[in-house]
Amino acid sequence: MDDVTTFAQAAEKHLDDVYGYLVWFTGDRFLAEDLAAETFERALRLWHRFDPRRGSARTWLCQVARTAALDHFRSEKRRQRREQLVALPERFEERLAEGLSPELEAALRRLTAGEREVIALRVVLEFDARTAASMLGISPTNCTTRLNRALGKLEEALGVAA
Amino acid sequence: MSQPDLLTELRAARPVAPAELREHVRRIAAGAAAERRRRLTWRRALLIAVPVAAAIAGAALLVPGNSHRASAPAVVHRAATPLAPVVQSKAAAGAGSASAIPRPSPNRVQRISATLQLRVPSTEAVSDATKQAVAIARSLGGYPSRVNVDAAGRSGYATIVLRVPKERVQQAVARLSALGTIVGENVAIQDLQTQVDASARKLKRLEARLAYWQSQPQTEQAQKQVASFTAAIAKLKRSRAATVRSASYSTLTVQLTTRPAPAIVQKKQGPLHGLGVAFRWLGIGALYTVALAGPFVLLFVLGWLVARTVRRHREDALLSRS
Repeated sequence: MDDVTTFAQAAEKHLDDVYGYLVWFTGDRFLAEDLAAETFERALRLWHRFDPRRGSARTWLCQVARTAALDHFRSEKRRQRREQLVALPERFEERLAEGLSPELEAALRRLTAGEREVIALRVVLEFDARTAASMLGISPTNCTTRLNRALGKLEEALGVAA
Repeated sequence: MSQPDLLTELRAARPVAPAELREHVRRIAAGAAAERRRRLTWRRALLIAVPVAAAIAGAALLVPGNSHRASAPAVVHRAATPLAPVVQSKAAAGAGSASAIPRPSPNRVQRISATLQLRVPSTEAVSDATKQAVAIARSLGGYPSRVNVDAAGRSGYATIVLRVPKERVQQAVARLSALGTIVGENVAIQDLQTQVDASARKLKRLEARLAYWQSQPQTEQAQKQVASFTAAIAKLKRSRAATVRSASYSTLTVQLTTRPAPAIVQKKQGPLHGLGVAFRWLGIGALYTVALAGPFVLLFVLGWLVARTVRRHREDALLSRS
């Protein structure tokens, strides 16, 4: 639990986490910026529902970010279907994050959004299994399985020795 | 690269929000402070509403007087159903004996009937009181219409139906009331004046028709008419006379009994008795609600589960893309 009491404090303290989560989830830094802004606008409207006893502000903000991202994915899918586009949406191949080796970044881009998301939550943001599972709406066991599968794919792509 | 190295590299590559985004979010947060206002959420409303409702319910249940209503004296017994009474009054034990009977109108034809329920101490008293009741009726110019006495067992019972001139009914009731303890009283007054007046008007019409036919040449038809009207007039006169005669006497039913009045159940009820009653009714209400709303709730839950499963499948499909 964190000790934020106001929305401004929460926004200031957890902006990087929310943004980082969205970058990993979407694989697109520009899109992540847009979604982060939308996340905080939504969070402001819903702030009266935030209950610190039920979870930290960081967890709550990431959940709002996830909903925003999923809404974006859905609308994007509808748009693609409408326009009958088979190709993936146009994306600038900007670096996913500073400090990643080109091989690792390439391997990460080959993962699905769901796999990148679980790595972002469990490895990058270091949420515990129970919290991450709660955010994803799955069981902790399922969350761990999903993480192991994603890491396994990365290791396979990079030829990592266990 | 080993697995710990991989994890370290992943953690080290934590993206940092660009300055423009940070500035934008700060502006959003600054707007929050300006927009801050007190919202009445359902929880806050509940926090206010529940204690207020509890206080009102408590006050309603604990106010003195409510519990007395439930234990009203059960000593009033209704007498036989009166004949379409215009005025009907009942009195319980301890009421003034003659107060329940209004003074009969001397100018109107009224049928008065009253029932007195009296408790006497013993079977011997039942017999004595029966004799006295009959004597009272006779002394007032009345007579006993029916007397039924059962004083053989441990408990005695008597029903005396008296016919007393209506102008002396108050006096009769006052004297009869003194024979025992009044446990019930019922008085009914039926106004018959309208009925008698209607009979008089009809009689006048019939007499006029009779006079007409009598003045006509006495043919066979005229004679039949005269006979018919004469019979009808005679019948109507008899009926009216019977009505007036029956109304000149009031009917007084005296019921004597040795049985003690039913004990008034006055349970010692604690201050939380009302609360218990309220909870019982709440429980009954909850049971009905569960029985009626249960199937709908079940359907809702099933629908919600299906919707959630579908949503998760779609979500998984959505996130299975890179």
